[in-house]
Amino acid sequence: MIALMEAAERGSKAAADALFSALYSELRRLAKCELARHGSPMSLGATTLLHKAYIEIAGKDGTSFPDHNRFMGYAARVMRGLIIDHARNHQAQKRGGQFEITSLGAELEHPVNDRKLVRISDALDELAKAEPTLAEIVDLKFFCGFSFAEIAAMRDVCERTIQRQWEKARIYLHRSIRADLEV
Amino acid sequence: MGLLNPDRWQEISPYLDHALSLSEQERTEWIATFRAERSDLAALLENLLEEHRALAQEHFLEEEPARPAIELSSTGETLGAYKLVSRIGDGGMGQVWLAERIDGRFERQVAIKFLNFAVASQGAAERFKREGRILGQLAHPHIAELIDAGVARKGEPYLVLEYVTGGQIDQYCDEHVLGVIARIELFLDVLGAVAHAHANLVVHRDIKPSNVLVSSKGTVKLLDFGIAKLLADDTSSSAATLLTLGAGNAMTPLFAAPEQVTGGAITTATDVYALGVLLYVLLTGQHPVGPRPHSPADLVKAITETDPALASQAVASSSDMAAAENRGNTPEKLCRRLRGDLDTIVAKALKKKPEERYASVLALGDDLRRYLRHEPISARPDTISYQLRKYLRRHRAGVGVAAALLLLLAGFALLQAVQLRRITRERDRADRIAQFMTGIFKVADPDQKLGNTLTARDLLDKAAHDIDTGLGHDPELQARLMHVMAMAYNNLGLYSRAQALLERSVQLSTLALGPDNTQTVRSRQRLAWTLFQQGRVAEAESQQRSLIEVERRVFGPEHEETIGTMGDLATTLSEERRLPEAEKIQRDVLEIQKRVLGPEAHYTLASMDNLAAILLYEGRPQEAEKLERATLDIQRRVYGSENLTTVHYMMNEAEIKADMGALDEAEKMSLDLLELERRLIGPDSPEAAETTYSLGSIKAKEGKKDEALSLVRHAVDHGLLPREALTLGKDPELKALHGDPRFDTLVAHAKAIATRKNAN
Repeated sequence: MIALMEAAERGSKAAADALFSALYSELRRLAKCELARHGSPMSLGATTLLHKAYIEIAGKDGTSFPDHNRFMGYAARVMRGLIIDHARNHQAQKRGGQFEITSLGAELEHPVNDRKLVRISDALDELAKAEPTLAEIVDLKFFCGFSFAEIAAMRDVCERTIQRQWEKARIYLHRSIRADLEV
Repeated sequence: MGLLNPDRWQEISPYLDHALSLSEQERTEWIATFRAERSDLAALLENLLEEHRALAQEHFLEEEPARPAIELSSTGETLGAYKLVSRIGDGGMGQVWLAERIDGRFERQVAIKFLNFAVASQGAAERFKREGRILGQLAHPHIAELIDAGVARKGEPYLVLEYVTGGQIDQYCDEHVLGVIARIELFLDVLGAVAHAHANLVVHRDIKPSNVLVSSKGTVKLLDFGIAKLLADDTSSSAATLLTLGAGNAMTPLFAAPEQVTGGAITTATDVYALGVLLYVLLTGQHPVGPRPHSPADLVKAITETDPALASQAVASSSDMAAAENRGNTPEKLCRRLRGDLDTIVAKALKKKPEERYASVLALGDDLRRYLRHEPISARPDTISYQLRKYLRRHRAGVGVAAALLLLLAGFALLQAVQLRRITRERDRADRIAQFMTGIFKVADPDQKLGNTLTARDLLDKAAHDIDTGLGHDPELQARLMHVMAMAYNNLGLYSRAQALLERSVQLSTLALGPDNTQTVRSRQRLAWTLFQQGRVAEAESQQRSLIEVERRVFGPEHEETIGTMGDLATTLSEERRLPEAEKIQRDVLEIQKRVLGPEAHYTLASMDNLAAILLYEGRPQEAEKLERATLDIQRRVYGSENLTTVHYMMNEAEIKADMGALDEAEKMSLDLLELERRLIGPDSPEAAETTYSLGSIKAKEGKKDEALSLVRHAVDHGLLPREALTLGKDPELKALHGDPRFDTLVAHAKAIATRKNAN
């Protein structure tokens, strides 16, 4: 895993893909374990889940990661993948008809949520090209639920900076998806 | 204003940074100067900052997004045509709800069971629905009906089930103070349901009292058929068996079979084990792993390693009076009741090794019914050896030799002892057997030098050597034991030793019991068969003919033994290529069996299979194929696919296909078969090796030499019988490989391996 991460940082696309899928399955597995234990996986927050994933993966590789924070950056992106896949799947089911089940709960849910999430994720990918740091903060904050203080500690910058970057990223994202939301 | 273009963003980004770092008041001042400096960007910047204020107010992106969690269902929610009424359970797999139909078509209450995992992909959801449909076809009066299966909008799979009210079977039995017989009768209903599912290729995997309900009218209903598999399938890791799934609490591994604990193959034998545990609980009120509370580690050890106490002993050693009282008995009486056949039946269902358990749920049920009718139970040695012989007759591959042999010997001795003990005057004889067997197995004692390298063969040799002296003067018993040992030698392919023992056996029992005695006749039957197996066909034929005369006179023309020998004769004749005669006799046998045993009986099917072989030799492959397929169809329907005999018929069917030149079909069938054999008997079984070999010969015929060589090589290295390995070089099926130096190397390699095996 460490080797994968290093290769990914050197720009190997294959390594990045492999790293993504390895983390993805690890997170899924952990979420599932949580599910078996409590009946509801997110009784455990995404943050704890990421920490757990880190500990497990680091333990498996025998040595700890050179950099916990770099790991979190990666894992947060993967976490978003997990959530987005889930949202996409929701949408697919709604469209597919085959599994559609009319439910009282349907009205309670915001039907836009899933679509919005997918759009945010796409916009985030765009943002990552221009300003990867900002995109990562959104992954950590929005998708994984880390606090500004935690993210600041990871980055070794002051909390205010993170907040400012977050606000900036939020404007960007809103811009990108606004057209979509107004429809 | 719509999307920002990237250049624009890059340009404005640093100013935005700066603006955001300022307080409201500072920002207003700064903006004023900025407007003067960069009039081109100022409007956009102000616009963005306005947007920022709005976003901050509505806390945009500050609430947590929906997680891939399974939200809990709630009362009043509808799923398809059903409306959730109330929550009635919270199992390890998920919640169970009482629901009712709301589409007005008919009123019916159902149970909806949510399964605690999200079906992530469309493919998984489809598979889940498909599996659900298969389970839905399991219509049986004692199986709770699966009405529908689906995946809820949130990705949570659910099952719509018949709503069953009733109590757990063990509690029901205790509350109604059912005696041993009544309990067994109720248990037979459970077996009927499981047998039905097995015939439809569904294994329950999680049989336990809470899944077996009895209504107030006394009707048994089994719940949750195949659901454990639905769960296991979804879990990416195959090791996530019942144990890991049950990490919560509901799915206790107390009823898990050893192979479920160790992650081995789950087959119908797994259900046989769980049924054994259930029977044990019903009969004794205790669990086979004993009364103490167990840590998970202890439990795993108990399930995989410790042989449970006999049911009768469990009752005898228990201080709990209630168990006996709940069965309308005193502990002493209950213990006596269980001792003997019931002990044997339960123990056989609870064997650690799946292959040592009852071969099917039907077999377990048959034995219980025999017990209820006061008939001897099936595990009688003669029946075992008879079946083995039938099995070997057309199986060019053998059975798992050492295991079967030990089981045979030990089983024989044990059953003899148990059966004989019932009759007081036979008690001496029972003790003699026990002594004799103990003497043989003592060799396994480390003190006796041979130590770990002791093989089944060693035991057998010692037994054969001791038998003349070890049993004092009891020629009848000597004859019977020699007979059993001869069968064991036969299984090892050591025909001349088998022959010598059988000759002795015939001699002894003729003297002691007379020439018309059943024992004498049976030994003669086996002797003739052993001659046949050594290729001494003419001798075999003459013995079989004279034997049939005796059997017709003593037992009657349509008796099992008589037609058994006639079937043997037909096989002998077909080996001599006297095919019309063989065919006629085989058809006679078949006609009698259809009439006497029924068209779907095991032996009837075996005769059809034999007849198909004769037709094939006669150069009538179309007819042979038709008959073999009919045999296979019945066999599958009646006994299921996961059955050794079914495997054997499939092998023959593939062989016929290959012979007809339908190589593609033969190949496809062989691949299916191989998968089944690997799962059912193991990857190194002679059966799997045999099929790999056949695949090799198909490839050879297709001219695919490389593949053929590697398949045959694999077969040789993984359990191909020595007999076949030795004749590898002469097999016409592999003709296409002749002349290839690699084939010569392979032939030499096979010979070396076979010789080494034979030397053991």
